[in-house]
Amino acid sequence: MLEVKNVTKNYGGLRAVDGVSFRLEKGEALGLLGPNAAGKTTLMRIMAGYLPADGGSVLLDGMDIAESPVAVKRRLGYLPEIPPLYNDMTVKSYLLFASEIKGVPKQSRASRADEVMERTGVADVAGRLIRNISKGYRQRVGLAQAMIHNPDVLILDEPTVGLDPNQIIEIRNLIKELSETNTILLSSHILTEVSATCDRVVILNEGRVAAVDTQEGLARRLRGGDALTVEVAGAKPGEAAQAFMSIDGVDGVEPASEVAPGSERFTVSCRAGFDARGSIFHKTAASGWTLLELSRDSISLEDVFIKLTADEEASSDE
Amino acid sequence: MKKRSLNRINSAVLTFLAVGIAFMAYYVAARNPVRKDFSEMGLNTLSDKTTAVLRTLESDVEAKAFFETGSIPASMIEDILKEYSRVSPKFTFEMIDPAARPAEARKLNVSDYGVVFIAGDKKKNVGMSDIFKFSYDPYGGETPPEFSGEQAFTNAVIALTSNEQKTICFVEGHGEGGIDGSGGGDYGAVGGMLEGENFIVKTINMAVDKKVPGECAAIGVLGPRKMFPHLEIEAIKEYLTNGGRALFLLEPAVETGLEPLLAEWGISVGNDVVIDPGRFFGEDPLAPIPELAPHEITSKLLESKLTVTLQGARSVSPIGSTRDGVETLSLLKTTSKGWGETDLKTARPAFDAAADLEGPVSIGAAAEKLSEPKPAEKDAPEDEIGEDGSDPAMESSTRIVVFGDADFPSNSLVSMDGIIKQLMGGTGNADLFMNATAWLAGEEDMIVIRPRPVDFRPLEMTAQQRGSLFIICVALIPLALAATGAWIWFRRRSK
Amino acid sequence: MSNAYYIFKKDVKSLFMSPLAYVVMAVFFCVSSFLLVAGMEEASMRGAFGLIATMLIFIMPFLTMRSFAEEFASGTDELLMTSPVTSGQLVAGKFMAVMALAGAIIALSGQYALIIGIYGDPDWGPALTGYAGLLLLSGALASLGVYCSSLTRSQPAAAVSAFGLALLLIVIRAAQSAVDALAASFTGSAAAEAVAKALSSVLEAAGVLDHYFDFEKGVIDSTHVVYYVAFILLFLFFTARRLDSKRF
Repeated sequence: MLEVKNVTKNYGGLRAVDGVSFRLEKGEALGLLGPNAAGKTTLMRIMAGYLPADGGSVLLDGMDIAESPVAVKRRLGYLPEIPPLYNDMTVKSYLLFASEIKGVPKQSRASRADEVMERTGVADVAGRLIRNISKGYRQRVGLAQAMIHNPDVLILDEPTVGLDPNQIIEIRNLIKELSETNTILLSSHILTEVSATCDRVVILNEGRVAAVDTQEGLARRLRGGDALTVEVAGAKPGEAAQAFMSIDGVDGVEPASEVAPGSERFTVSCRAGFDARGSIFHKTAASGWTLLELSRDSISLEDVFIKLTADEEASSDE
Repeated sequence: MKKRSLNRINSAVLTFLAVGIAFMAYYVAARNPVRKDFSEMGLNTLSDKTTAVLRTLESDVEAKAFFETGSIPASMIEDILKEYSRVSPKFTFEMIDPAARPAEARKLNVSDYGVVFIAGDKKKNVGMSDIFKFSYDPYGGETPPEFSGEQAFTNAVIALTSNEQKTICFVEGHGEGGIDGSGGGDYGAVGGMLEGENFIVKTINMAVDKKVPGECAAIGVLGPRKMFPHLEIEAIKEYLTNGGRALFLLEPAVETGLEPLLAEWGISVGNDVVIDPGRFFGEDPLAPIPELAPHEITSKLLESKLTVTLQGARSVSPIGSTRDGVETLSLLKTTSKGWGETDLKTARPAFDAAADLEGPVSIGAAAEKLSEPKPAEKDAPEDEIGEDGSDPAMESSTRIVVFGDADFPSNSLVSMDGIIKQLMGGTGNADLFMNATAWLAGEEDMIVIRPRPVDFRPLEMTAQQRGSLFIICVALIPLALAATGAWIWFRRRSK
Repeated sequence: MSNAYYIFKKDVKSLFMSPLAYVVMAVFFCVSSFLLVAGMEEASMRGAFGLIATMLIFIMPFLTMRSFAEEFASGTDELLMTSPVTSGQLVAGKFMAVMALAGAIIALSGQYALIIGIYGDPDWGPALTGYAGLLLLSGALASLGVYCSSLTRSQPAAAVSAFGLALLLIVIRAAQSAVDALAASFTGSAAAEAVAKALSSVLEAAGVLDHYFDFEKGVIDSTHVVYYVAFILLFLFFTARRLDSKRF
């Protein structure tokens, strides 16, 4: 549904996002996990159309956000890290304004506002000035704003940051609830948050995708073992994955980001102590395919995990 | 990557295009301006005549306007000069407050409010009396002054840009006051003014030349003390017969030999001293303040209510001329109480009906010979002259002005500061001399533009009304605004 | 275009719901009335127009500084910029909101028109054209200010740069005489003289206040109208480009 293709963003000499590619499928909740300053916010801003990318593209059902920003933005809901709230507005008038500029038809604006207030649990502060409501409410009003036009994709940047534990649980439950009906991309630097709400995880480190995996795969990989990146050409679809899976010591084969037509790319995870590289090479050669790349992932997932858990401890200390 | 850099190029091109369109739109608009004046009296619209003159300007003309900053004349004159400069890029102007920049005023020899027009090394002054006309109302009612600045300015521009510069020749050799001298009895002050009016000022000595040089547009004889030799009188006679122009300032008790010549032209110079107990300056009945008779020479003084003070004068009366087509007219007259005392030696002057001239006594006269115009000499701008009332079918040739006093335009009476001048009287002395010279030289306005009333609309409110308005506007309205703000803030704070 | 209206509505509400607008207006009219009312002698708006125009040059930066800078600083631009609203609509809405406040100030100056109407017999032609001129002048200042506000997240920086630019565009006429003097010294080179002459005429045309005075006098000249309209559209266009360069 939403596809990020080789997106790059530089800040001065610093490469904040470096060739990131992944897909968000319809109906799934994808977690964007990474330590602070991994480029999560920058990436999400690019996906929401708030920042232009220096390279690569963001596509919604094949529609490029750079080419038709208005059409794409109409179908995106975005909650920035700091909720974009006007302090001198009441909650209700704020949501009505959001519904206006997000193209909600005139006759359904009031009902949409009521509905999202109900769903996010802010109906009781509808008439209050935003400057006078609590942080938890603010976060929810921000969420309500992102949902007001019933977008196809919700992009939520650290929706629980800075909230107290009770509020975190409330928001997580809300997101979980939403994920049943919406397609969600959620960023966090907290492992447990992502695992609590998401089906699949993209791990971002220093602007690069460190891994794309399901929760189980992630858990397995964190237990140990190597991840290999393999790119082959000349195989029928699915054939190569099957072949690699049958190699002794291989735990899982995940298709990785898109490459040129005719070739496939996988992340192959191996059990600890096994090095499947030799086997893969032979298998490929024997099948008559062309091996374009075979490498051990340069970033150790373990390192990322350590950073993440360190952050988690730090944030739970707060 | 490719697409995005293409976008950037597009964006730069687009910005460039937008700037280009904006500049182009302005350029086209500035080239073809459509102007509409919404003021009731069309205060901002120049006459077609002025526009035509400005459009054909070939050399640069600069106007320096000396007025008090913020005064009503200053703003009116700034507005109209701005219109001038809008029509022609060759016309520039500068507003100067003489109090703030006295050096500028001194440099241009400006002592009063007015505008100096400068083109190259030529300049022309336009004074307040040319710009504003105050019509005299005997009942003391308030008639708004009229603004005739456009006519004055446009004529100044014409005079400066016409290549012709007229020469005024002053005769010397008979004890006359020097036109460039700085002594009390000299005429350097008015001489400078003539130069300011774009005249060339020269002195001639006819004892050498035996005739009036051809370049002289007019000659001036300023208070001679000696008899003129016969040859010189003949030269002047011949000059006048051939359409010459001459100004004579003749002091009492001096015989110059010019008297018969003037009588021939219908002006009698009396051998007397004019005494006017009816209207005189200070405590000296020998310093009459004459009444001005309407004439082109005196009209501006009458409009501006300026007076002339003489200092020991003889009678100069119009009489019938022996020549055809000569009209003579008195310019200055005493009151009916005045008389011309013929006994110049008496210690107790008194009117003697047998010998003395009965008042009102004329102290100045003008003679003009009108003739059929020669068709060859008729050129375009002269069509415009007619509007002032003179008969356009007749052309003026000889012009003579005689005043029975040579002191009134002298340095001692002219070059005084404004305030002293008012105390001393004779505020119009220089103007009378200048206007007479201009009339003689044929420097009438080339074009006539109808003056318009000065559009001053007063506010009629009592001090009390003004006081309450002050309180309403300075205190109440701002307070109401502040209170609204406070109320809104207070109401929203609690939400 | 209704998007522009929503932005306009939101900004106008926030402007008029904040005490700032009222404080600005109160101070504005306290000062201008203090300078005007006691010395009013003539049933003409010219003095008032001159003063209001001058004061607008000082006040407009305060009205425009919030426009975008505040959105950037508070992060609310993330809502606007990720909404299906084009930059053109955003800028138009913001500009019109500032103009609503400027219009309110100009309308409140009607108190002086009321005074001269009651106590005198004014020439209403120049009064009306003067108001047209004030609107155009404030429009130019507003578009300039909105542009400056789109360059920074700091409101003071936005106000200072807007005021500085406005001042530059006012005193630019003074540079003309310097260029003219330079042109006069280039008697040798025709090309240099032509360049200096062209520069001089550009400088002559650029002055943002010079195009205003004719309105005060009662004259509407298409040159001035085109100048202001082009000025306003150009700076609004720059602002929209600026926003576009910041986002997808």
